[in-house]
Amino acid sequence: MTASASARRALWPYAVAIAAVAVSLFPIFWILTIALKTRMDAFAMPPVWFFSPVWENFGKAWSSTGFSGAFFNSLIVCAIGNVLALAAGIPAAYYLNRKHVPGRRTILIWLLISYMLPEFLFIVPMYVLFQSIGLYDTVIGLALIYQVFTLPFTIWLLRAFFADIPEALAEAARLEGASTLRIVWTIYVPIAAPGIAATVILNSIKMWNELTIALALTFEKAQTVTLAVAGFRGYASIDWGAMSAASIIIILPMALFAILAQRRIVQGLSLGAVK
Amino acid sequence: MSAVSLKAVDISYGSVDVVRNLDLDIKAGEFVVFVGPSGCGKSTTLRLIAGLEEGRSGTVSIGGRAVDDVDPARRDVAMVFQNYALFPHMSVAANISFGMRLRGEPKGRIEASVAEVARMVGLQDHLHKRPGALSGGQRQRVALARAIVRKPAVFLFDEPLSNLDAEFRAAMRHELSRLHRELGSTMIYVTHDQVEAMTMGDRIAVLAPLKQAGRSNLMQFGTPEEVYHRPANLFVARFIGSPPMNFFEGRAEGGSIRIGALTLPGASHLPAMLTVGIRPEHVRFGAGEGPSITGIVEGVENLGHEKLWSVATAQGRIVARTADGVSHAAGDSVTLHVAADRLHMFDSATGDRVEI
Amino acid sequence: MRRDRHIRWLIAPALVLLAAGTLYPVVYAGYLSLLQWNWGSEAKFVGLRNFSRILSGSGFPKALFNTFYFAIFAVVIETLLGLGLALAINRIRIGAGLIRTLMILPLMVSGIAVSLIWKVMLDPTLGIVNYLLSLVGIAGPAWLGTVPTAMPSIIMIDTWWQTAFTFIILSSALKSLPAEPFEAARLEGATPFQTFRHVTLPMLKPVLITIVIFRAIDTLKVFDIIFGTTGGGPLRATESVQTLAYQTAFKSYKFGESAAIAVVFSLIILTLCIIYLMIDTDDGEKA
Repeated sequence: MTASASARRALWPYAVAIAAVAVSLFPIFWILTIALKTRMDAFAMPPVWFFSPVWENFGKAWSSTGFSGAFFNSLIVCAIGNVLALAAGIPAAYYLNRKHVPGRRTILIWLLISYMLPEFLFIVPMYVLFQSIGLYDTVIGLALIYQVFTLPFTIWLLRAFFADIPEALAEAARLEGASTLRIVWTIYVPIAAPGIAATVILNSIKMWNELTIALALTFEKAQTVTLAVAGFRGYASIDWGAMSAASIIIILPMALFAILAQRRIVQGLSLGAVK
Repeated sequence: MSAVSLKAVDISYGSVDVVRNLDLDIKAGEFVVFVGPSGCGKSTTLRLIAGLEEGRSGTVSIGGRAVDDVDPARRDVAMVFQNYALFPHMSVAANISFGMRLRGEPKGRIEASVAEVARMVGLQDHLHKRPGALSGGQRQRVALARAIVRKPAVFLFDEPLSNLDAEFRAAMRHELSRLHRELGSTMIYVTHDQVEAMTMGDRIAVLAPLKQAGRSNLMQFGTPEEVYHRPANLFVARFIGSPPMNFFEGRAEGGSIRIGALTLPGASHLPAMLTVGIRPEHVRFGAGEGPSITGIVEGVENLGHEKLWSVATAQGRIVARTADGVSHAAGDSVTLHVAADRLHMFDSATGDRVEI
Repeated sequence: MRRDRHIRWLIAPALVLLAAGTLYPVVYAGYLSLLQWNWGSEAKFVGLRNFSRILSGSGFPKALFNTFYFAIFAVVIETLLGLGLALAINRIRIGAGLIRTLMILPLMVSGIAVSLIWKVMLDPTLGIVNYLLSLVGIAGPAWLGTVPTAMPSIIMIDTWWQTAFTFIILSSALKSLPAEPFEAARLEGATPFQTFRHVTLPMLKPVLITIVIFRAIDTLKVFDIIFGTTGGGPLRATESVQTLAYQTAFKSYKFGESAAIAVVFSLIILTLCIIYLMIDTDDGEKA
């Protein structure tokens, strides 16, 4: 084998990787440049590659009707949704990790099925229910309905993380007089903290980006950031700058998550699929 | 008064019986070892005493009190687990004091107890460390300290030394024996290692898996001397001793026992078929008093301080244990004699010991 | 461990939420599907008429076809692409972590933002894609605006968005494979392709099956990127079951009919679910 042939063999994965990264990032980069261009430059053809950035599109997007409110609504929905999912999911995951508990297999299958149901199966009934009990167009209502997918996912993932904790730890604590709740809280939760962090991150990404349910179950007060961004859809041909800026605003928090917590996200995704 | 007593205990996992009809009385202050091959129910029984396992029937009493409906934490027992079961996110001190903090004991007393126990097991310099930063032996000491600090009536050990290196294991054996003398508490120790059983136990309970055991898992409950020198049945005779006892199949004829061409003195009222056993150290080279057997040396294992000889005879292969001075070559024709008073007789049909 | 009598309370909150979130709506959706009801008017019991209407009409079969067209192509392309990328990038020693971080970024982007990004990029006259194509002499079509190109465009968009998922999982699965079979294959003189075919692929099979099922479920439920780009057009060329259900319930206010669509579609997904569980138990109890 010649030296150049082996060098080629060592280099082609890098070529693939660079191409993949370029394709993955270019659309986001492109929308960012449009958000930073003046209207003239945004429509220029051929495209303007070098320009001095302007920030007015971000101001326009942020101050457009309901946008900032929707942004905070999404934050609140994520917070409440995560609290609910963990409050119900952590004990449930502990329960389902015990070998001989009643209903274990049924509940696990139920979780799988509820994760797989199409949104519109429960959207219409929930629309009717929420209208009648006053949860329609509220962040609480949205955080509650999001449990349909966050809770199974949380339980599924935490169960995998809890499974790595030897049962003898629970037994040792039990011999010392710890109640089951205390075992969960003082042994399982701290040891599985990285797994819980991964779960929270993935749940947040899902809820932050959710559109279908929010579209059907909110109207104005509880509009989420995805709906605010969707509002720019109609003006697509008119105001690319503000629309792009709005897209960047919705992407930014999650992109930061991805960069800061890449390992946790990868770990959570793989566990969720493999276990 | 017995410290721990089991009466007619049955334990099953689903439809599989693991322990059947187990009766056991352990005296206060005794060091009792449960020994047996895997599947004999020794760990399950220990966990039943701890309250981590539920029996199907029977009664467990601790200190004269029936504890079947008593929560594990209120049984006045402490357990040392096989894999230590240390809390990885807590310091050594926090591991030791976990239970005391749970019970809301005053801070001063907790600190004093932790310091005292740490000194007993030699952990005083490691109290602030996490278990992950400790060696296997040190982790074992933390687990031990966590048990000691409770001052329980009964200590339960579930194969605590099985994850340690051989040299550490010997040291920990001594340490546990010393601890037993110092504390004077009742200790129950589960192991599959007969060396641990013989060296540490005041009494040994030899357990067998149910499919070999028949009526009950408990094959013998006695001192190490009794178990070694007067095994109650074939199972104990085979299980205890390394290298194992030599066995021959024999028949009772008149007042004596015939093994092929060999005749051994017997007695009246012997069962028709007998299994005769002799430990390797009770087989000698050369003629002497008692029955003699001729054979050919097959091989030798030189262990330094002693030699284990494998000799092919008409009655089957015999292993003899001698001091290192003896020397023969493979293929040598030799005469062996067995000490007649060291023979063990068992009823081949039931496996029970037969006294002559 | 001996059972704690209070342990059943641990599962109670989750069961209450699940029952309220899934059991109630499933039952209620089944009931709604038997009604003719448009929210304002009095509900009328019509038996199975909603089902016969959607099954005999053109809208639902068309949407079902589109949905499977989209799902099959998207899943196959994303799985193969993810596998190829994982195989290539797992050979990289320096910078693999950074590459993975950058490659999962599309996965973090909301479906609605994905739609807008690609709407801008694929704009027939002002979009960068057609400009780049024009540089090499190709006149790009109105990607999302013509019937033959609209669905392939949506598939392409989903591929950009979701391939990172298959890539990440296959990449971790590859990393966790034991080294010995590969060393044994090398000692036997297997070519790289033989190694892949007889060692890598069989060991990845369980993960591949899981990925395909996950992506299949996800793509069958496609909504965001169609709602955000074409809205189901042109001429219903990209109408999926979920966008149809949305239109039926919230634009035409036919709640009963929309429920019937959701019920039929759920049964289809449930069948897939059962097949998955059967495959899963065939491989032995992992969970």
